[in-house]
Amino acid sequence: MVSDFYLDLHPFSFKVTTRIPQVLTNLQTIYGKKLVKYDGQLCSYELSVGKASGVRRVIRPQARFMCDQKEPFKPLSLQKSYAFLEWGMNWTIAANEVQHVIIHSAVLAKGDKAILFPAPPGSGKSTLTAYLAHNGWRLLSDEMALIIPGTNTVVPFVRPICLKNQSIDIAKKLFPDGQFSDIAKDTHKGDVIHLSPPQISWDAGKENAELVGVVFPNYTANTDLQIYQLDKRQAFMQLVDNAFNYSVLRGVGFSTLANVIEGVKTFEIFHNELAEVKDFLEQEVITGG
Amino acid sequence: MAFDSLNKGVLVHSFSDSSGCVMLNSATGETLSIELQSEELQIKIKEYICMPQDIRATSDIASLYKKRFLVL
Repeated sequence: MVSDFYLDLHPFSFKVTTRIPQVLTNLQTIYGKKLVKYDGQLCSYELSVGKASGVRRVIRPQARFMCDQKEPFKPLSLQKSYAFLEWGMNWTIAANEVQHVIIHSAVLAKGDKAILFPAPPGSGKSTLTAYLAHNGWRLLSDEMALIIPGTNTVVPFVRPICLKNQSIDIAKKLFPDGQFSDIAKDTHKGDVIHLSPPQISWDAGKENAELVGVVFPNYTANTDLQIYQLDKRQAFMQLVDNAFNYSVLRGVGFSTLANVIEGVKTFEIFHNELAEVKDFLEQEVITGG
Repeated sequence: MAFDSLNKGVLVHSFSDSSGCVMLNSATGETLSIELQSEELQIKIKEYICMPQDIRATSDIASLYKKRFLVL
């Protein structure tokens, strides 16, 4: 059985080693043709997900995640092994990458105009991301925005969309033809599933986009769409709160985020209707209404 | 220039929508947000520097000194 794979996920590449069938099946479902046999390609990071040894191979088996021979997390149950790999990939970039300013945020674009959607768990960010990605937008990332320092340019890092709890059923109804991973049950985030973005996002996976908006989304049941323009100082501080490597980059991070905020429109929105949000974004943020 | 009193490595950005300033202390990594424009902040700093030492703590920018954004 082949256990070493190569994933070219611009701007990074990974060697992924696993012998866990569930991980391999999900990798094939989510990444399709991007997952190829490892054949000595140069890669940014070497990752592995394997079964824990000893008694844990039989009793409540566990998976271990390794990045470049280091084990940053305690093992998780084997049933969560694919989600563990995805989270491990996120951690790998967030913990090591200093070439870009990294914001914990979804990024989607219409053409070459992009919007950041920074938001905490439970805000409906990933459901909105999945909806836009399946309705004429392209996904640059669901989890992390990579901004070139000193610019308003975002670099795609196309990966699956991570959906949680009630969002799973909603997404399965909205995108019946979507490529979904297995559900990882009872994680620290609840039940979790990964959804592969549409092909257009994979195909444009090396095309940068220019930021024109920063929108903080909040899903709120039983409410009409409410839109609030954020002042730039508030928006800046919220971006700082969502920046992974701001404390490492310091001056570069500060000036980059200030530059970003000066060049974009900034909103906070409360919604329960995805189509209304899409209309607002296209009419007011992308085209400038 | 009142900004001469800023500690080495402190960066200031004043936003174009007049919503205020943000400051980074590169030495500590701390970022502060202030509802003052750059010019207003400079005036406040000048006032702070000229205050008798025993009432400086009452200034609304006293935390800039405590957090090592300002040197006197």
